[in-house]
Amino acid sequence: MSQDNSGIVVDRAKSQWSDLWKKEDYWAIWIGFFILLVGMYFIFNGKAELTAKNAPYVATMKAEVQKTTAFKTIEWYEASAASKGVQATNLPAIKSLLGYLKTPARWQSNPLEALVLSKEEAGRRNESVKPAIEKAKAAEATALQTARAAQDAAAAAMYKDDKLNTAASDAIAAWQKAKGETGKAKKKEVKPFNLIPSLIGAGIVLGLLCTLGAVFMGFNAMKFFLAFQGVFWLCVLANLLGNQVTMRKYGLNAEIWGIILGMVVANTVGTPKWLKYGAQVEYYIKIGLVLLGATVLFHKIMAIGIPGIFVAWVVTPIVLVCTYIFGQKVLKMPSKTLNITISADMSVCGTSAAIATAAACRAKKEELTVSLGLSMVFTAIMMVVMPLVIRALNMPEVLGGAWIGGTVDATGAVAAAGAFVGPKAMQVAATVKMIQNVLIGLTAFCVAVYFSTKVEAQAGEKVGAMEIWHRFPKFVLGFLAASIFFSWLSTSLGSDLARILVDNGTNKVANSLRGWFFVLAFISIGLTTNFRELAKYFKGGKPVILYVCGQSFNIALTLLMAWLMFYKVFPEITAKI
Amino acid sequence: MGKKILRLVCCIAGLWFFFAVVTPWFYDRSPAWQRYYQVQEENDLHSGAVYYSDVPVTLDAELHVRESVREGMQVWKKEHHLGND
Repeated sequence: MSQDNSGIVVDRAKSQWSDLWKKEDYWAIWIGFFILLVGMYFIFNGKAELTAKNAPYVATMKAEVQKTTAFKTIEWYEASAASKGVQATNLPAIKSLLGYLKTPARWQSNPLEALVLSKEEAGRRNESVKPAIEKAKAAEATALQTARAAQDAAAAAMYKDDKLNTAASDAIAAWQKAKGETGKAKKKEVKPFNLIPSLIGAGIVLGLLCTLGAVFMGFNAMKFFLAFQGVFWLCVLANLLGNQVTMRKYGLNAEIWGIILGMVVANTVGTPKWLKYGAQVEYYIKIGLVLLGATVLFHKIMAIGIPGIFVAWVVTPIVLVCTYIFGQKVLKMPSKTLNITISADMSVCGTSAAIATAAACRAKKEELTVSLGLSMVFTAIMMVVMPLVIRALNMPEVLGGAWIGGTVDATGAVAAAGAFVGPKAMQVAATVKMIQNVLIGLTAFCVAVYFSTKVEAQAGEKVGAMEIWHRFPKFVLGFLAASIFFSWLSTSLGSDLARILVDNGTNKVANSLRGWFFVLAFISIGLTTNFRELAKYFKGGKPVILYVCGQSFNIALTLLMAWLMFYKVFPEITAKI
Repeated sequence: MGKKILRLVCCIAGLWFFFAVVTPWFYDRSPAWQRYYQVQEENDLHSGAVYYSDVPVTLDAELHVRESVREGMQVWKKEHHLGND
């Protein structure tokens, strides 16, 4: 690893056994796997307890379905809600682990509120939301009474009276809605907290972990650890700004603030030498990506059936490849790595895809920054404009949701834009995006293979298997191994246990740490980026033209495919959503 | 050094002006933006979330959509006389 980390990391030397403990690609894998193993140890220790806790709820749900298929009963919904509450994150060890990884909370005008909330202040806030909660609870109780009466009437007719069944189903739906309102009101309740000790702890533990790898890679332990602390506390500041209420309005997250903060420091007072020592972009990105691999679960691609596969897994690669070819042949993009990073960012799923692709093809950090900047600007426009267009055209919710899910870059913005259109649109949009998210693994692997075998080879040069191995970014293997292992684990556990132990267990641990490592990487990018260097990438406006042309094609093809799949080939599925 | 500090102060002031003055001005004049934010609040969403596992609503959406697809495929198979397995 180059110690000044001014650009990309190029492993052109022959592979050696010592790479296993000297190269950052491998250290990213070791650290990522270590974190996942620790998480799995605590989670799977509680497997028996969680299974036993969930069993009665599953039994109740089965019994209720056997009672009637005309509608889902009150008891079914109650058991389902209780079952959803059984999560590995409620295990004491995982709870305290996640407690240590918490980022600063939301705040409005006083940044200290994000770090410390006193008992008195929490009590005062809870007092102010109490009337709304009481009101919602009363409405829920009334709705439950009505639903119970309707269900009893349907049961008395042995569930054979369609009118009574429909009345019961509607009353139960109304009760569920009221319950949802209570849940929303309760979410405003707060508990006192003090994040300062846990943040100090997280900084020290993550610092030690990264320093261990850095020492083997040739860094000075004390110098690296101290520099890491500097980068870490800038990372805390970026998280703090990303959680400010107004910033959330604009969709500005901690990653973007990381780049901004880093660049402000680097381009004004200049990044101090001691701090630069800890600004190891590639190291943090690769650890984050190995952790991300644990949440790339392949079985998720069938979540919305064949229509989803066509919208997310057929359109996306077509758009990605066509945009890349357009960039090379028509726009004559000066950098292939910038071209593929923008193409993947725009066609797959924004930030996460851009990071994975940039690391897989060894793009320059400025190229990743350009790509993320473009994505952020166009996401901000699309997330507001697309719902307005969908509403203006009176487009069906399912079609609108699939269209948003397949085109808007940022995953969070997809759910929000979908919610703008309606609840069905939000569900379809979030699910389509989730399927697209899973494509990251395959994209990163294919890009790594393509760049190792084609782009980095000289004209006419034949690249042998060993040469490919030397050039291949090894962390991609860790990323894929984590993805394949957790996909297999999730499938073999079955849907209930996978939800309890993986979706609400290992995923949560991996998410929290991946978030920290990505922001550490973005701070480091900012700290080592010069405004002037960045400006040259926009010369001729080619990146913007590439993004706009690619996204226009994406918008048209996704709409066509969603309409064909959801309204022409599988209208039966659409009718049930 | 004084020049550098001045540059830092100007940069912070510029960011503050953009985010505390310019964008709220646009926000106050854009009902679509306001509605968009309101929807995020109602559904506990953060549009800056990076991955599906950062968006809690995705898990519920997946469960609901999977169930709908299963039911829909049964109807589709019946209509296309493809058996039910």
